[in-house]
Amino acid sequence: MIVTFLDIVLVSSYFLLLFLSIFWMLVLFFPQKDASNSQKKKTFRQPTFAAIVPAFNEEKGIVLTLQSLCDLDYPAEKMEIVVVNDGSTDRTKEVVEEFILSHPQRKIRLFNQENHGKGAAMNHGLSSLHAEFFACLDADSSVAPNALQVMLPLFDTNPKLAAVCPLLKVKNPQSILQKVQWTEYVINMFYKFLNAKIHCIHVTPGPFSIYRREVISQLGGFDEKTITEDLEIAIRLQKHHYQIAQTFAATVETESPRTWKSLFWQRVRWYRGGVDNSIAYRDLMFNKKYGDFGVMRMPTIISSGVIAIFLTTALAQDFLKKGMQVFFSLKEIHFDIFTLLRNYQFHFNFLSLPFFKLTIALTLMSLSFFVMYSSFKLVGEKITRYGRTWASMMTYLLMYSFFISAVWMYIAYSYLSSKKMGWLK
Amino acid sequence: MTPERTERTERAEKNERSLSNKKYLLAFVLTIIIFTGGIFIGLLFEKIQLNSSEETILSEKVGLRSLQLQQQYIESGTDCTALNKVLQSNINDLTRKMQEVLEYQKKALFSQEKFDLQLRDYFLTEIQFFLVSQEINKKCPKDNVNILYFYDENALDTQGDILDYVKKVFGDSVLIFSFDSGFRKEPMIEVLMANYGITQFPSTVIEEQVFQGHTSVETILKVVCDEFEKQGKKVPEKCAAVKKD
Repeated sequence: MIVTFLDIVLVSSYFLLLFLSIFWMLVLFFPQKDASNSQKKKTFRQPTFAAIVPAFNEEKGIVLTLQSLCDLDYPAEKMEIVVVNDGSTDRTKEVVEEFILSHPQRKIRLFNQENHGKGAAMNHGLSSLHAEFFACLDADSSVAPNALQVMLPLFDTNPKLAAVCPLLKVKNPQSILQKVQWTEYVINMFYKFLNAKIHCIHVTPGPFSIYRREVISQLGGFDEKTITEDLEIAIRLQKHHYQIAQTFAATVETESPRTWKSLFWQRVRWYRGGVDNSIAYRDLMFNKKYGDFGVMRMPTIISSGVIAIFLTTALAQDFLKKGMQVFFSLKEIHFDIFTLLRNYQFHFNFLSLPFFKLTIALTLMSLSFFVMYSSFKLVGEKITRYGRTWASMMTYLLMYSFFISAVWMYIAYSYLSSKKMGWLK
Repeated sequence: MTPERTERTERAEKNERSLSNKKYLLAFVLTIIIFTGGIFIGLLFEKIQLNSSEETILSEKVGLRSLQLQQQYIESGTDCTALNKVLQSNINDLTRKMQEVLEYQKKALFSQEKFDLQLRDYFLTEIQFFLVSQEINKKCPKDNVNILYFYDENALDTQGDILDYVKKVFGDSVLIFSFDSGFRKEPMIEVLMANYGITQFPSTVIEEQVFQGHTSVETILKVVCDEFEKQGKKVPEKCAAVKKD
């Protein structure tokens, strides 16, 4: 048997992906006993809460965001809103000031700072808070009115709990690209559900993850240097053995990129942040002290990228090799494609299919379809909710992996090129 | 730092994180089982491939014996045109099936030796067909041009593609017998190579003319067209264009 580089990469990837898929199925069907979750529910005491809204040039969306916060089903006297204007150059400041004036009954404060990034804006807001719990709400997101009523009580039943993440959905997807992301978010929520079962949540998404303020302050607030402060803070919480919960009872809707280009750069930031923080917190990786989070979650933050890079390289190498062969063959016959097409005979031999690889690939595909079905069931969504969703589903299944691979290839390139720059320095 | 917070922090710091060892083990075992299942399915289909190619070679051999018998009775009125048609059909079929077996052999996990044996059988049958075609040519008016193609495992070689093209241009008027020179397990291939004095690859033998090394499509087309002219047959249209060039 002739074994190629592509064969080695494919079989290794199949093994790893199959192992991970089966592991997550086991997590789904055989949940772990957890003493912290079996505590009896206490009466909800309605603690103080603050929402931080970091804003940079958000004049268009910020009113809706602030309104969704004001619409929260929670006593006004126990809640405040802190807007941190991160050096906006548009009318964000004026729009917020107008909103404050028109809502005198609400505790809303506005801080203006030079543009220092989201982490710094969050820390600015955090330093001014006295509330027991706080959340960040990006100015492009809106939160369901019941969010605090269902999220805050979770903290009362589990003292080790430092953060609670809501159900995150794409807001009103219109284009196929947005519907692809809507599908992706739904599936991601399923994996978050599984991760939460074994305390492996590695990211507390920007839109309305609620934190125990005391814990975050004690840990030094948000990292202002990282490009993914929501991922960094989650890993830091895990490092200090705090727990992060996921709820599906409170929904936050967020705007998704409208173009492939903006989606590409968003993902580059997310995944690059994932790699940066995996390196920064490498001491957690494969470390039994951190349980499943160290052994399983930390390595898999970048494993999908490693698989994508190897697979893309192997496929590209194979494609290039075959493409060159075809090119040189055609060149030899002076590109007389017409003769080839006129005499083309289709011949398919079922027996020549790679049955071993097919068996594994079909098993993986079946598991993927099961995950997709379970995801929609879990978040209570219908696949056809926004119409033409089948087209987005097929795009998701057939094209998205290539897109994500391109993102990972770019990240690999950015790492290699920055390394070069480092050496030059 | 409040006493409540200190207590909570300490509790969190002391927290022993659970590890799903049983799940990892079970996932690993199940992955191995599915991989083993995949290997078994692969093995099962390898056996089906072996049986299928065995049946094919048997049918080719029957075709060969029938052809051998028919060519022995040419003088007693066997139709040469019909015989040539049968020969062309058999060779085309054999070439296609041999490609399939070569593909099986390359992908085989466990039955490599059996496929090697079958390939020897295929190559021998092909050589026999070649010899029969020569016998037929002695007794019947020549109806085709025979090309012998000796190749090695050089994946970048485009000679095979050139010959495929030539076959597409001339159809059944050209019979191509291809031999993998790397298949040293069959000594008859070496005998054939020695007979034509072939020392390098790829090599092409068009009737009795030997071309060692890579041969361009123009050269092959020209030689084939010359052969058609020699045979006094209706020269294919393509030859007019070749002559013009």
